[in-house]
Amino acid sequence: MERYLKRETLEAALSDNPNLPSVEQLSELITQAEVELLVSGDSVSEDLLKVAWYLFTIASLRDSLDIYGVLRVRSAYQISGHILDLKISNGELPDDLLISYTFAAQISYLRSSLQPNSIALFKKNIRNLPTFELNTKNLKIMSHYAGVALLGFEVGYIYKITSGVEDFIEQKIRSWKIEDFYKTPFGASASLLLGSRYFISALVYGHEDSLRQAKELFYISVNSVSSYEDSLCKWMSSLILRTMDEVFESSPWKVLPESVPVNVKRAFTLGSPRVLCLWPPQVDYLGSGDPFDQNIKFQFISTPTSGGKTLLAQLIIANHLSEDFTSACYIAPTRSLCREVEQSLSSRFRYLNLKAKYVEELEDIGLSEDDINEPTVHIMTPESLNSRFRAENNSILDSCKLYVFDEVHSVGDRGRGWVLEEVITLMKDLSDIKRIRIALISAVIGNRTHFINWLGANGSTVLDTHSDWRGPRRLNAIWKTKVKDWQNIVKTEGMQVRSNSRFKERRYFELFGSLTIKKNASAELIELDTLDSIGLLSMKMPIDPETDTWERDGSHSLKHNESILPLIELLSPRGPILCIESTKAKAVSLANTIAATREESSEVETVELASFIESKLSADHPLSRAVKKGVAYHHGSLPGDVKSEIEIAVENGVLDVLVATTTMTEGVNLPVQAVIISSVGSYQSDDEFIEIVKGPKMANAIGRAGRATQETEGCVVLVHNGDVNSETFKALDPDDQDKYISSNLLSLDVLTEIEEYENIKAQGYDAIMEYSGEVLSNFFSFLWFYLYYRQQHLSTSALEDLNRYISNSMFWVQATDTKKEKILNLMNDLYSRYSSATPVERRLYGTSSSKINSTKILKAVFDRIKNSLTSDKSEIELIKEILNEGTVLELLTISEAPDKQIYNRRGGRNRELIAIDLIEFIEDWVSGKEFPYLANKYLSSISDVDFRYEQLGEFVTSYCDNFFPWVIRLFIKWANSERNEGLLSKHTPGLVQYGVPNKTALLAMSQGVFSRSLAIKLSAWKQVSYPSEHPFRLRALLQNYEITSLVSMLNLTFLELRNLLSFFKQERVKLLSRLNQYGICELGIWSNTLVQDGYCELAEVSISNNIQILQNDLVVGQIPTKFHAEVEQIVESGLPIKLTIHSSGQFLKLEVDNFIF
Amino acid sequence: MPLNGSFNNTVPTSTGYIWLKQDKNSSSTEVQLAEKLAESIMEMKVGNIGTLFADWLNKKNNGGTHPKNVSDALEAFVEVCIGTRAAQKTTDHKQGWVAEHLWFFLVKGSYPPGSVERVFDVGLSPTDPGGDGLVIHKDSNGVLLFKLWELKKISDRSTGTINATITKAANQLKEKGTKYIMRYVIQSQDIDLTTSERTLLNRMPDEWLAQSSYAGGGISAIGSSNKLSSPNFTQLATNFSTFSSIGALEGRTIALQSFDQFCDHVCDFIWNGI
Repeated sequence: MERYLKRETLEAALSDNPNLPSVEQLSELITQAEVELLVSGDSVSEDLLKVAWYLFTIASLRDSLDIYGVLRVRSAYQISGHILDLKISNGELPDDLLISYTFAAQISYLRSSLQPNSIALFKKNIRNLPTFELNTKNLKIMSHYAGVALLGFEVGYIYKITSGVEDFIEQKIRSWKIEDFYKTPFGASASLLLGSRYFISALVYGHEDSLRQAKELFYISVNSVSSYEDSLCKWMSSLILRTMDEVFESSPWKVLPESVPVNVKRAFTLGSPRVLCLWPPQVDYLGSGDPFDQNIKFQFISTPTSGGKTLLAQLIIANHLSEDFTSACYIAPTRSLCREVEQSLSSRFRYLNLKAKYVEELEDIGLSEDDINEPTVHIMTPESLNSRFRAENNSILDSCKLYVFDEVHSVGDRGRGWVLEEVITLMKDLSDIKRIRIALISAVIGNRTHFINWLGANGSTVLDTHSDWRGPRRLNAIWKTKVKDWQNIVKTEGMQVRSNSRFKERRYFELFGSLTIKKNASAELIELDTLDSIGLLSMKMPIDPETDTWERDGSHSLKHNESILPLIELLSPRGPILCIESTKAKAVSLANTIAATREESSEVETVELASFIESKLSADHPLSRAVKKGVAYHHGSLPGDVKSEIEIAVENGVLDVLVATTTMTEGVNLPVQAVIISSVGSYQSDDEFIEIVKGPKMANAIGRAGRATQETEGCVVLVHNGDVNSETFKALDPDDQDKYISSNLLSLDVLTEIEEYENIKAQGYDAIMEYSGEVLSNFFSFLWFYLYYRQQHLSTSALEDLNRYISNSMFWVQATDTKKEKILNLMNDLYSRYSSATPVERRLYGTSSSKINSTKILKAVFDRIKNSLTSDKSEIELIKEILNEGTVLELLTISEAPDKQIYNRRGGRNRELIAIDLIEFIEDWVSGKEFPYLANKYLSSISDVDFRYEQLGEFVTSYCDNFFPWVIRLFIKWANSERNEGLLSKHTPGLVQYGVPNKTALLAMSQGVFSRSLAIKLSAWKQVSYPSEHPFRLRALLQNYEITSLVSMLNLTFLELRNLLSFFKQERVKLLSRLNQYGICELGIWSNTLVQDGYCELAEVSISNNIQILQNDLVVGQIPTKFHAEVEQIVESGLPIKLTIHSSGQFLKLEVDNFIF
Repeated sequence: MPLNGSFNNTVPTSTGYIWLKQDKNSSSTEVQLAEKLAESIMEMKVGNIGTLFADWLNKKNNGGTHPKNVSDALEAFVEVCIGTRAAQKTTDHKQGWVAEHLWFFLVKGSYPPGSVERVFDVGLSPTDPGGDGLVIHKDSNGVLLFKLWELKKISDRSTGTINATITKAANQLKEKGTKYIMRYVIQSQDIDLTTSERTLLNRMPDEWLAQSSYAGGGISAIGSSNKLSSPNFTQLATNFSTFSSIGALEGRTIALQSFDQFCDHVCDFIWNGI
């Protein structure tokens, strides 16, 4: 997508009307307005506005489709919405005009199928939702706000602003002794107000009768004779009348099939984010077939970021859990994304009393307290799913019948791509036998037909959709520096000249920033230069200009990072910025440069975040300093809790600028207003430039620009120092070829691996058992498991099964016959080796999730130490038995082992390796020692603070997060499988993974507490206060206390409290599901005073208090901590709730006003 | 007698546009005119709400007190327009309001007789400050045409000249005309119209843009006669040079002896009946 307004859109809208500007003229006018807005904040010309109003009007006629046709009407709306939006963005309209312009732009966006932009306009422009005393003087202004709120689908505000209007009208009819209030001069405003309420109810509950009532009211508003002066009301009502059927037709009530239960639909119209109007790709997909039909086994959804695919997945899962009564799996490539999905699904599914649960990679580490029969969506990484399949008593294929694979382009990732492909292939292979359904999702796949053919292999039907649609438009631009005048030498400096010198002097020239954008509907470029110089360029002048050339002197010129600062300054006022850097070091450096130019913020949340980071990484860490100035960086080597808090801070607007590597854009869905691609790659030590940010990574990164429903435009800027032309822009618009995803089995590496394997085989080795290459050995291991699984569960494991398996793979779709032949030969070898294996061997390699060769080595180590693994040992003692001087070196020889080396500096000839005592380190880690302690103890010889923590982070990730927990888990599993009693504690590996000392802390970490220190604090508290209680009771024990007591008792910081409340949120207390089902729910309240039965209210929700219950403005009780989260969610839903105390002041009943079943 | 019966209509010579001069005829006083306008306004506002108009008229004419329900209702309806007698809206606001209504009833009264098919609601534009109006006319062949109006009141205290006001109005009409049309066209989509009126309504955006023979523009200046002498509406013709059909462009002056006092009288009459 190069520009938002395409030439064909302009042509269709203008339709050669000689009284309108030409396509070129309009394009020029719009671009000019965009540019003015970007660089100077100036607004739209009257000529352009005139075009907007004309197009808006012709598209809004009752008979517009008959007169002008669908294409012209839609194009006209698209252009008018764009121009009016630009006008509003200027921010200088008085309130009344702001409302009417916003309303018109909202209508334009809704009717050109850009619904999220209508919501965004409301959020962006009507920031302070005003409240009004309900009286005749305010009816008019209230109705205007109701109109824009309605098109922003702002349910809570509409219910609030229209609350009591019906009673008010009744009261006026009585007191004025009139028959019909709508015939008064207030008729237009009152009916617009109430019509908005009815229409929103129609959308929330799918109630056609409410829709009919709303229509009648809007019609009354338009025709109210006495309200002849209320033209804005009438104008709004008329436009709503034109729009409401279209909106209702795209509501979940009309789009979702009748087979989807009503309470599932309502979970989407009530839950957050609220879905009252589905987006075009969603409507198209749901209209193209029935993705809820159990007979539709395979689905493929491909829409851009912010295109609404996550919602489709949520719908499919919710319906599956509610109707099929089996579980589902949601597979995402990273833990962060899994956590994010868990949160959004949990929030939604609470309305259905369904459970969404993140599953750790370590299979069953003894933390589950679940009812296994309860339909649940398990959220996990491909590795975790793989590990679950291979578990001895694997039941996942029987309990989970729907598998949704998000970011499925990861199939092409080097190394781990095969893990994803093998599990999808397995699902596909077993889909008939196990009645399994699969949905694949991605935003960035170029070769979609390969994926459709993959799912459709062997004649299967695939329901698929692809769309380029997205709500916020995107402005692509290129930023560079340039010298405007080479004649203007600012200064000259002589250089020391030796016999071998090439240069004699430096000449300095003024550098200017230059932003290039493309015109709408044209390939023409516009270059905007900074008025003032932004720095100097130094050129080294040759001694002999005849034979030598001048050269840029990087060390004396404006630095790359500094050259980006004016761009940051330009984009900052528009919203949060994400800068993408190709390496961690560059990310840190750029963040530091940006931070250095800014003042420290005194905002409470910034200060809290900075203080949290200081506690995690020390005060002298550069991240602590940057955060104080609203800037942060984010890369894979930061501690998990720090990354999580940074992500939350960006989302909440606490941070203005985030500099990150693509690890973040691949792993977290964190949309921002602007994305700056600061560098696309870096030079390696051999001076070779490696392009890192490209293809799917680039597509994913730029996809973050423009937050759907938050803003109408995102901005992507590529920093590019060189000539800029149309070709340069192609980097920002990866085409299908750039996003081509290929099976790992087709990579050049695999061809090399096959050669290596053949060599081993030729030398007479047992090659299947000995080979340890990255992809092939995983391939062998999985096929071994596959044969073992079939043998155990399906009583058949023949070569034909293997052949069928591979024919269900992506590889099979893409491979040439020659390559297929090579793989089939390998499979023959594997099958022969499996057939000749003993039952013990078959089981050993079939249930281990490691490579065959690695399992062999691990088993040998295990056999040596297994007698020392006894149940009388504590977890830390068990860890030390497994990881000791006699084992560690051998364990590190397997190919899965990390080879992370720690150096005292980033580079240079004199850098040295630092030796770390792994065993002692892990002991400190498990005891809960924080990063500053570990950094000082083990890495104090690294003087660069940031590099010290980066190395530490990588070390922890490599050894503690993945490898050692996996080994320990395997050893404990093997040990327990050899005995009937005296079983070893299964949660031991989890302690290493999370770096916590006991099961209670581990449980907290696995259920939403992401701060190690908080988890340890909680476990210490439980140990002192409730030593005999089971760790599973931790949450319930904490919830016995008021929030204020918890804060003082546990000495919680603001961020810790927020984290603790999210831990509480994991528990469902069924208030929301009852409310969704019956429109009513109730709970026991906490109170120390005598509470009267009868009406009550809730005080404003605050993070630091339990929600208070008020009667006659006096606090009479509070919502128990256990119910706090769900009651908060009910309040946030904005539904009109009637609150009543009953049963002698003990219970609170929450009843939705006018709940429609 | 309808309000326009109390005004003389004259058409002084002009070039490129029609100038219609409306000023009070000798048969009634300006106070009587104010009363008539107040009655017309109140009838339009509350005429279809039970006996409220009769109640208001009765009190205005005969004094006395309303039952509380009646006075509350009337006060509520009037308060949002001109305020209450105790808490009046600004003079500027009241005068604008009165001027708009006066224009509305005069243009509705039709000149030349029988030529006006429909006068659309007056009111402040949702998209720009200022008053405007839209009228559908019928020409001598029965063909419907429309004219978009920019209304300007000139208070007695105003220091500006009539021609400066006209120039401003003509520029405003040129600049904002499309938006005004937009409002009328859209908000009239669901009202009862004849087929030919609806056809014209749907064509208005294009006809206005093309400055076709179906479209026209007008400026009306409302004020005291001494402020309205020798108006020159040439700017209208300059701004809309392609409006070629006869009568497409119109300047209209609505003159009173003292516009400020007239407005005060109108408001007083309205308040008297509450």
